[in-house]
Amino acid sequence: MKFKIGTSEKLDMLKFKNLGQEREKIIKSSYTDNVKFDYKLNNLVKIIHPKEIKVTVTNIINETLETKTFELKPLNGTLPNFKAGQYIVLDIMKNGHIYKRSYSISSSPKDLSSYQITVKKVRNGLVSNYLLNNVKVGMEFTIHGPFGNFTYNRLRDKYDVLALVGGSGITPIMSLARAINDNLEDLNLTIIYGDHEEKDLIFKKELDELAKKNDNIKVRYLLSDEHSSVYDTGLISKDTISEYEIGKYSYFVCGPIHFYHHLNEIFKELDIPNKLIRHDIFKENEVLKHIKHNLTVLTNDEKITLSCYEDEPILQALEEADIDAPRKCLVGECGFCRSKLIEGKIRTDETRLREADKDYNYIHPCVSYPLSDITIKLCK
Amino acid sequence: MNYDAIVIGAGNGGLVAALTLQKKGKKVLLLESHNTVGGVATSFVRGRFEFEASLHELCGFGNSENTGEIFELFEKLDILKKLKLKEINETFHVMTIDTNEEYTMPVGIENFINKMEEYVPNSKESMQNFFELCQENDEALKYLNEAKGQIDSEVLKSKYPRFMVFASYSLEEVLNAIKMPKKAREIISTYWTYLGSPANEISFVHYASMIYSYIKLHPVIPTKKSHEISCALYEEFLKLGGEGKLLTTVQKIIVENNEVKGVVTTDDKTYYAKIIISNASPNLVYGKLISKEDVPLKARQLTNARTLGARGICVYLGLNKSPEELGLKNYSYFIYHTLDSKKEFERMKKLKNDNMVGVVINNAIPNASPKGTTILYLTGLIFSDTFSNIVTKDNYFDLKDAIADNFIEVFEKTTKIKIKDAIEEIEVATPLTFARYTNHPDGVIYGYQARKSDNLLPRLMNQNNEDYIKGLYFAGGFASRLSGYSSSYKSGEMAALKALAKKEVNDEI
Ligand SMILES: Cc1cc2nc3c(=O)[nH]c(=O)nc-3n(C[C@H](O)[C@H](O)[C@H](O)COP(=O)(O)OP(=O)(O)OC[C@H]3O[C@@H](n4cnc5c(N)ncnc54)[C@H](O)[C@@H]3O)c2cc1C
Repeated sequence: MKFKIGTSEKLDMLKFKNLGQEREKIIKSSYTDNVKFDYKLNNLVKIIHPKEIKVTVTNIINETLETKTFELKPLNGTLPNFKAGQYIVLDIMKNGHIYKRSYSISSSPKDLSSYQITVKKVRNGLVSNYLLNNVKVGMEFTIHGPFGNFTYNRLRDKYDVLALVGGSGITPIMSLARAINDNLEDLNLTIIYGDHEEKDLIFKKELDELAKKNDNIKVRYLLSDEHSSVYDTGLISKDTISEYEIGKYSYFVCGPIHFYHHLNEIFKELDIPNKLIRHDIFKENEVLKHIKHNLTVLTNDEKITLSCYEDEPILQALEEADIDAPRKCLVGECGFCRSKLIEGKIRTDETRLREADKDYNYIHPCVSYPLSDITIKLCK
Repeated sequence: MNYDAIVIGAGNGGLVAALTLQKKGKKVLLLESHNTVGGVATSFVRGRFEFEASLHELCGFGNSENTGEIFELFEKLDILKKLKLKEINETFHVMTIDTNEEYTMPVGIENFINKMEEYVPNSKESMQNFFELCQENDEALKYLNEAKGQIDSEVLKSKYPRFMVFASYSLEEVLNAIKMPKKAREIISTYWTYLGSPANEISFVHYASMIYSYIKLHPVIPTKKSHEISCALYEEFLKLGGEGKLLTTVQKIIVENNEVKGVVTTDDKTYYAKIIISNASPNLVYGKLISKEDVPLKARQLTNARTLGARGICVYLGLNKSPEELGLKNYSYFIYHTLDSKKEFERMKKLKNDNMVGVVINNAIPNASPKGTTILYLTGLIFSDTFSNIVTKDNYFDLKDAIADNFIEVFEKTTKIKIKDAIEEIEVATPLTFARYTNHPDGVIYGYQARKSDNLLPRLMNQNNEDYIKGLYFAGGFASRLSGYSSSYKSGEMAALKALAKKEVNDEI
């Protein structure tokens, strides 16, 4: 093949040979200022996704006998924007240990001068009860986030949303209702809120007011342990859900893990597609402390052996032993605690592991429990 | 603590650099900001879906009979047997918004030429010439790579005479010179966005090497997303005794007398080594990690002379119907207003430009998501800092929604395929997301733009003159092979071998 590009082959070859020198020349004539790594976008990352935020408790509201709302204000500046339904991770010092727990933000995304989290007493709850009993106005905490995908998306979700709430699962939904009221979200929200008795219902007064004020917020209560003429009695059932036209609604499920399992059975019976179901699980682990295994933890610099009960999430044992393992959501959603199982057997509630991670024995210690003596390796 | 080498960042370049050094018996420390390795070569899970974060198709692979450079690299690194890669049976499939054109190009040189002849009669001869040049280009590049910057122009002249003639020209200039019909030129330039420069700016050498490797060797994709490759590289590194620390960010590189000494991490630990390979950008290294007074003049000038490359936007969709049910027949959907890359390059300086590449990963890997579902990801590029200028903390969520809206609408309108009602999961990545996960300036995903003297050849030819600080080398998308999976893997190997070679020379002296 014959072809010609420039004026002559010779010149083209010369041009090629000069490519390097040409580059040298450009470099030499370029300006000599210091290189600055100062980009608006990279700076914005630190504002939208800060590594941590120092906050003070500025107000404590008694919601019910067993529930309090804590208002957290940043020591400096304003807080990152968030979507209703997201959570923060709170570092809690208790008896010299640092516990990290996630709490949904219950306040509206409109007010970024503070976040509110709402905490309910949990039977044998290690950390929640500590918060309820010991936290005073003026105390300082470190928080991380906001994180999470339990948020409304108009491209994915139906305009009509049926929120199925169990107990303290009301917190992210409260934020969503407030966001609708503040014109930050546009959807038609119907809340079915189940708890034991009327006195357990959190935010009842405000929910009723919001429903009165907004055509697209409706709320209905369901009490399992109290018979009254005002409220429905029982648990959220197949019949309750069938009252709402199937196919018209997206379902936002929020509550304890057994509540979620219960509803999942119903969804299966009703043949409701995955697309229409979003969930947020609340979990505080109750450890019965029967069977104990050795847990060996490897880091790059250390080998530590401790023990872990068979019904205790591995992550919880690490926390008790003051090992600063990475952790965020604690329910196997976010994958942040990803660690490698070197030896031994585990049981897991895992659903979110990457395929390739399975091949290399990665686990999420927040939802994994030892079935034998085990060894795990942390990521640093 | 002392190491032979420290690698900053575990993206493709960093992983290969670390493993190459470890294989040579060096004591290596690999530091990575995130809790997984791979950089953008990773995946994430939402609901029932594991989404590929970046990879559309891997080039330069091939198979055992017809090996490409990445096949050979993975074989050398002993990870080949652990990987399950699938061939993609299509080079590209492109549609235009303004002119309603559609072309689907097959793999294999013969097939490609024949298909082009169908679309553009009388293109055959120029296409054959094109592939002849591609082949010579390939061989010449191999020589240049092996010569490691020590190029003997007599060898070049006798063995690759045509290479020396076309090597300093753009894609557009060479295609014109071989008299390829206009439409064929436009079609064959479809991949221009993969290299992030229009046909008049991208060098023929670079473009030809990429497209040739796709057409001749088949593009491939790992069955368990790019995370499969990233994991395999890291596991092999650990197995050989390499030390990796994730969730560990380097905040300082210690330089004394123009020589690297070590690094300091954000948890205030110091690690020492005489070789440092950075997968982080030169902008970060010279602009933040190294003290101002220790950055040589030329390093500043080089960095200041360069233009940041493409910013990326990606809309990841988990659909609750199968590709057949939806009517998604192709693997890729390149969607442009027109096939004129110069015009489109200008258009793509705006945030809302409608151009995108859609990938239906299930059409190569049927079980990439649960049965009866589809993963479709739509990637768009922006060739300016317009996103940064528009975005604020308060409009960020709305901006993401608006971007997704537009991508989906344009995709539906152009392909006439309805996807909206099937969306079960959706996630949007913006330049801000990429800035967060890579720490790269302005969230660019393609390193520096391949323009003028910053194209592949000038970078390769000068690679030995640009190591301005003793012991400091770069790997990844900002380095001398430019961006892309294959290039960044290869650049990791190049940086490691160069560091070792220079070290030996220095040790002898
Ligand atoms: C959406 C998208 C689609 C793409 N599609 C394709 C495709 O189909 N085919 C193809 O070939 N290429 C594709 N690319 C390009 C390709 O992914 C990249 O060129 C390549 O992965 C870059 O690798 P890298 O080595 O530069 O590392 P990067 O992925 O850029 O990673 C850099 C790493 O360094 C770490 N780091 C940075 N600073 C520090 C620090 N101070 N301390 C510690 N760690 C640090 C970061 O955390 C990160 O992990 C695509 C890219 C994107 C974003």
